[in-house]
Amino acid sequence: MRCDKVKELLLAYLDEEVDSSDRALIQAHLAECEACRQELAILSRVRERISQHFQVQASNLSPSPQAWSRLEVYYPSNSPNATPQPAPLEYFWENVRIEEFPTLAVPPQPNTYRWDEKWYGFCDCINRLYWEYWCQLVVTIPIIAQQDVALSLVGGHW
Amino acid sequence: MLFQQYKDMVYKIAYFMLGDAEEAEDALQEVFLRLYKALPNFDSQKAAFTTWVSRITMNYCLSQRRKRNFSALSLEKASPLLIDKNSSPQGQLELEEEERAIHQALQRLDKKLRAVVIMRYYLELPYAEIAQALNIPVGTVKSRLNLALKALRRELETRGVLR
Repeated sequence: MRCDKVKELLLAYLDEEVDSSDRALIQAHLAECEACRQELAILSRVRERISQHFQVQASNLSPSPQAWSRLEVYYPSNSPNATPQPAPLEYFWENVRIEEFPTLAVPPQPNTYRWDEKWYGFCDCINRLYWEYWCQLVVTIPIIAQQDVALSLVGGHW
Repeated sequence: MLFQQYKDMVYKIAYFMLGDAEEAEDALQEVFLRLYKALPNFDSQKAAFTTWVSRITMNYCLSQRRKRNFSALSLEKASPLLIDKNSSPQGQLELEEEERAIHQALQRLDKKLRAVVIMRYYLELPYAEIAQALNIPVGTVKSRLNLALKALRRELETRGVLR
C-alpha cells in the first residue's frame, strides 16, 4: 500500500473502521514507514484531544433552570405518560421567525379601516365565489351540449 | 420520561453544534417538539433510539443559521472550566486556554464536518450509524471526518495546543 492511500485510511484505522485485510496492509506499511507512523501519532493526539474536550465540556454542561421550567410547562414530567401540551399562543409568538412570514412582519391593526375598506374583503370573497360558479357553468354547459350532440349522432341516448 | 432521559444529550449536542448556551436552550424546545411529533414514526428495527434522537437534533441544528458570530461569544460562557486539582494555577490557565482554542476551532469548522465529529467523538457512534443518522454514505462520513481532523489539526497546531 502506498503512503497516500495509507494516510487516507489512518483515521478509519484508529477508529477501528477498516476491514481486516486493510488493517493488515496498513500495519505492514506502518512497520516500514516512519513518516506514516508520525502521521498516525499526530492524528491519534488530535483525536484524543477532541474526545477529551467533549468529555470535559459535557460534564459541565446542563440546560439552565429557566429553560427547564419553561419546558416543563409543555412536557409535564410528573406523569409517566407525559405528552406535550398544546403550546400556548405565546409560544408561537416567542418562536416565530418573522422573516419566514413576511405577512406577519406587519401586525394587523384593528379598527383603523374605513367602513368601505372593512367590507371590501368580505365582498371580494363573495364576488370570487360567484365568479367561480359562473366559470363552472361556462365550462360545463358546452360539455353537456357537446355530449348531447354526439349522442344524437350515434342514434339517441344510451 | 422521554424528556427527562434525553434532555441533557439533546442539549449537549445542540451546544456543541451551535456553540452557544442560549441557542442550545432554544434548540432544546424545538427538538423536543419535533421528537414528540415524530415519535409515532420511530422504528426500532431501523435505528437505536439514541441514534434517532441524535438524528433529529442534528438535523435541527444543521438547518439553523447561526444567530451571532462565534467570535462574539463570551469565552466564559463558551467554555466551562476545566478543573484539575493537581495542576498549578498556571497549568490550569493553560488548560482553560486550550479548551477555548479547541471550542473555537470546532466552531470554525463547516457545520456538516462538525456534525460528524460530534457524532463520532462525543456520541461515539460507529460510522455506519452516523451515515444512517445523517442519511449519507459511509464513504462520505469517512471523508468528512478526514477533512475535519485535518482542519482541526492545522488549527490546533497554529494555536500551540498540540505539543
